[in-house]
Amino acid sequence: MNIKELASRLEIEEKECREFLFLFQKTATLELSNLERALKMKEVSVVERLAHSIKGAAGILGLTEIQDAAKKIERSLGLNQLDEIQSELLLIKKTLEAVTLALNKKFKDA
Amino acid sequence: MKKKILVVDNHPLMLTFMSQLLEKEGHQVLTADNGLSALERLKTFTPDIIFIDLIMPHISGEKLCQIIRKTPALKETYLIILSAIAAEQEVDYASFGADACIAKGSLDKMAKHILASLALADRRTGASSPPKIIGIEEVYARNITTELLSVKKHFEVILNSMVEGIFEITPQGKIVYTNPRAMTLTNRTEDQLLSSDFIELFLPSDRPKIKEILHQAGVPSKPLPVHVNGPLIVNEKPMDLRLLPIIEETQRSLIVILTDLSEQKRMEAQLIQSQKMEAIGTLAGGIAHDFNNLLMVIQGNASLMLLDMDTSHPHYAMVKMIEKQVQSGSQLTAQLLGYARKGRYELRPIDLNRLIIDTSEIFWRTRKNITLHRDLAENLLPCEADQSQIEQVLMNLLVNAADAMPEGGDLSLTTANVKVNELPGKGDLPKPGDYVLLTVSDQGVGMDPETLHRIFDPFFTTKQGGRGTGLGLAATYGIVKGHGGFIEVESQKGHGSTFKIYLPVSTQVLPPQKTSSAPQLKPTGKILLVDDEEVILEVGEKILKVLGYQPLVAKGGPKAIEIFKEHHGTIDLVILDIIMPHMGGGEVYDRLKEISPEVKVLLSSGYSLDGEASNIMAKGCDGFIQKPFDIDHLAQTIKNILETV
Ligand SMILES: Nc1ncnc2c1ncn2[C@@H]1O[C@H](COP(=O)(O)OP(=O)(O)O)[C@@H](O)[C@H]1O
Ligand SMILES: [Mg+2]
Repeated sequence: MNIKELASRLEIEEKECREFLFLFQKTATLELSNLERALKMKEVSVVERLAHSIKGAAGILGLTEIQDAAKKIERSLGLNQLDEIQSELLLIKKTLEAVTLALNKKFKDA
Repeated sequence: MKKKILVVDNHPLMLTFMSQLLEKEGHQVLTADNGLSALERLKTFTPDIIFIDLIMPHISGEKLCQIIRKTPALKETYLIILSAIAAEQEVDYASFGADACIAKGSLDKMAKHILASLALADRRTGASSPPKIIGIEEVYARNITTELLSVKKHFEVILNSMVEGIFEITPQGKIVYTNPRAMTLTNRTEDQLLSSDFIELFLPSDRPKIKEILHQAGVPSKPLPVHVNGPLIVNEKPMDLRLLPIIEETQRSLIVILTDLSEQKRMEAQLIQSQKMEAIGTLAGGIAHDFNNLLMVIQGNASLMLLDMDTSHPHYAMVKMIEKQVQSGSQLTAQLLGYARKGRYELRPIDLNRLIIDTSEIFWRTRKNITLHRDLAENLLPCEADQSQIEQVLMNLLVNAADAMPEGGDLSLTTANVKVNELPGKGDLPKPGDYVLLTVSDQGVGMDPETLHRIFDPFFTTKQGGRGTGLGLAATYGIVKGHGGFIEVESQKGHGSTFKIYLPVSTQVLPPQKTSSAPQLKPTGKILLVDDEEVILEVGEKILKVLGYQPLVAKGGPKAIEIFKEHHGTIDLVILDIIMPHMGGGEVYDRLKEISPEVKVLLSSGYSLDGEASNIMAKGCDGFIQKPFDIDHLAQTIKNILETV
């Protein structure tokens, strides 16, 4: 993932972009683990709200993979297909890791 | 132009982005991460523009808009919905008072929309522009998860139609959701309720308790549903309260279920009242029975003593006194039986006018300062009743009327035939049909509404110093009800009282008047007295002997049948107790009739299970005598039976 590129796409400074990504990463990681726990407990409305939140934030930052995956989760919930969710979760996790990596890389470079 | 702006969104990313974007433009920006904290901010901050997310914990964006719109200080504030939802479905933002709506999208596009919307806020004219959601066309397909929406709709329908009031409150006790029922139960509007303190719904005296409960329910370690066993008073009604803590990952709140107990309490009270009445009735009936047997023995012995006693005897006055007290005692038991709706032994058509003339005459002899006015209908129809019970009713009303006029006064008694029409309304009202109406009117002290409300309660009396028993009207009510009639009362404090007694008209004709001028025959005959109590047999035997009869006694039913068989054909009359162990009067009666269909039977009882006596009477039994009876009464009754062929 290229932060510089993302920043220019969003028409913001790279520094700003980092800050937003950092906020997103922090929030989404927490939300994701909460989501997984809620899923185990079959608390559908909680899963739904968390997916909605992740989707919204990802959309803002143009992280379309995460956004689409979160959207699919929402839809599976509506159709009561809880099993379909796992693969989307995995995808979100992977992308989040990439974000984390990209953020850390800059710090190492500096 | 520099503006004051509030941004409400639960995502930190949005808040940071918005602050940076708007501050760069030179605006003053405050943020809030949920509806409640936004309301908190708005107490001291009056923004020109508020950006509001739709889906947020606690108060939703929609609710927040509605509350803001109702706040006078914020009337001019420009409300912009900023939501991802708007990208996927139609949001009728104008319906909840927002001015514009922006769909969340990627930062670059959103930034432009937001800045554009600020310009829009500036250009705002009074005329509302057609609702438009900015940014929609640029967002991905609007393929909203409609299934999800329909599930939500279901919940909404359920919540809206529940008979319980449902609240959601924050751990701090602020209300963030109410269903419609919660509003009616508390008699408050949604705006008044939302973001207000839950605890304030309760009486100050209950608040510490509620606080404690909220605390308990919200203890983070192990939250459990708390059930407050009411009744707590909310909006002057008793309520039951249940708290269900909801622990979600990001949000902790309490669901409160409020149930109105008014109806349940009323039913409970009614049930308790009727159980109480039932218990008093059973008790009264039981006591009356034992008491009458006891009084019977005292009465019998006193009568026997008087037979051998001259009026000059030193004990004469005392024994007379005993007789008189027995009379009072048996009146008391009659009242109890009346109240218990028991003791209706002899139902036959009676002439109410005749009864009124006789009874009021006796009464007047005791209260000469009362002037009686009688206005009795000439063609009064007969009513089917137990004569002695109706006498009791009339006597109760007369005594009360006289008591209400201690200085004396006018008392009027009228009778009439009336037709009662179908009365639309409540269930327990009188059956339509023909009734005989007895009206007893006095010009005494009258009653206030509170007294009037309670006069039929047993033991309710306003008479001081043991002068009242509070049983008169209770018995009157029981007796009249027991006869299928009803009572109306009109009274005003200081303006007298009127009691109206309605008794159903009898379908039978009056029996011809008995001519009591029959030649005085010296009584003779063999009489079998049946009872389960030794003392009654003892005194009865003596009395019958004194009267000139030849008595036989039998303790219990089987013995009676044995003796009856032995003396087959020679027994002129059987005096039969109704309630006896092993074999009751009813069965004994049937057996006797089997042996000898012509046998004459006089029933006697201190009390009867409702209908038992009447059942035997209906089979053609010859008469009934209520214990305690005195010698004269017994003599007369026996004579009447033996004389009729
Ligand atoms: N005619 C009346 N005028 C005024 N008050 C009456 C009248 N009849 C009954 N009451 C009120 O109803 C109460 C109950 O009457 P009742 O049941 O006969 O009991 P008691 O006469 O022993 O008090 C009386 O104490 C009195 O307050
Ligand atoms: Mg009375």
